[in-house]
Amino acid sequence: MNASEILKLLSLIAAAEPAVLGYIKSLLENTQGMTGDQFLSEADGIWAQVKANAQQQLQPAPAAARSQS
Amino acid sequence: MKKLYYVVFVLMVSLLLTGFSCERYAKAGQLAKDFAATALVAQQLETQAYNGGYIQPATHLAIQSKFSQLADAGVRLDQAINQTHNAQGAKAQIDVAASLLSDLSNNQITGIKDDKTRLAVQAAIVSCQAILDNIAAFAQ
Repeated sequence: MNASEILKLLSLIAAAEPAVLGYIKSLLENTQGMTGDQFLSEADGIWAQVKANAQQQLQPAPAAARSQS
Repeated sequence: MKKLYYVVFVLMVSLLLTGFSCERYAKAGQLAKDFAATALVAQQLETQAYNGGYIQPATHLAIQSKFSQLADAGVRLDQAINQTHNAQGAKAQIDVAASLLSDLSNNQITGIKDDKTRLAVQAAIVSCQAILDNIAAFAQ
């Protein structure tokens, strides 16, 4: 994959999901000085978000929505 | 006086070892956070693509189910790193997460019919795998 394709892919991802830009920003932020505990605490918070998102998506659709479709 | 030198020497070695240990712990923690953040992005990307009609409902549910398992594995990985204060003791949990990512990449994501969407989600998962590989390499 050449640089042009990588840029195209990055722009595709960024266009599809604004959160990617937030992620890139967070990666660029200075995290020096944070302790292992702080990093892991933040990681746990993010995993909780992933879990909550998954649970939300896995919930059965409401009966009203099912009857309409 | 000689005894004092010994005490200072032992104290300095202890401090150096503590510093080394803390540095490894912080690095392992940072990688663990990057891993979680990248997984979240991959999940949000997939959800966005599903909401846009690019992913079939059955495939979407299979992928989200895998993300749910990955979140559990991620928390266990964080706990393992916390208990050992580096990535060495977390090898078993790294293997679990790697297995889930591999399954996601080789089975669930291949079910996405839209080429661009599959490529985008796959790229995000590859990023997760790369970070996890870094954690594993850090554990060597």
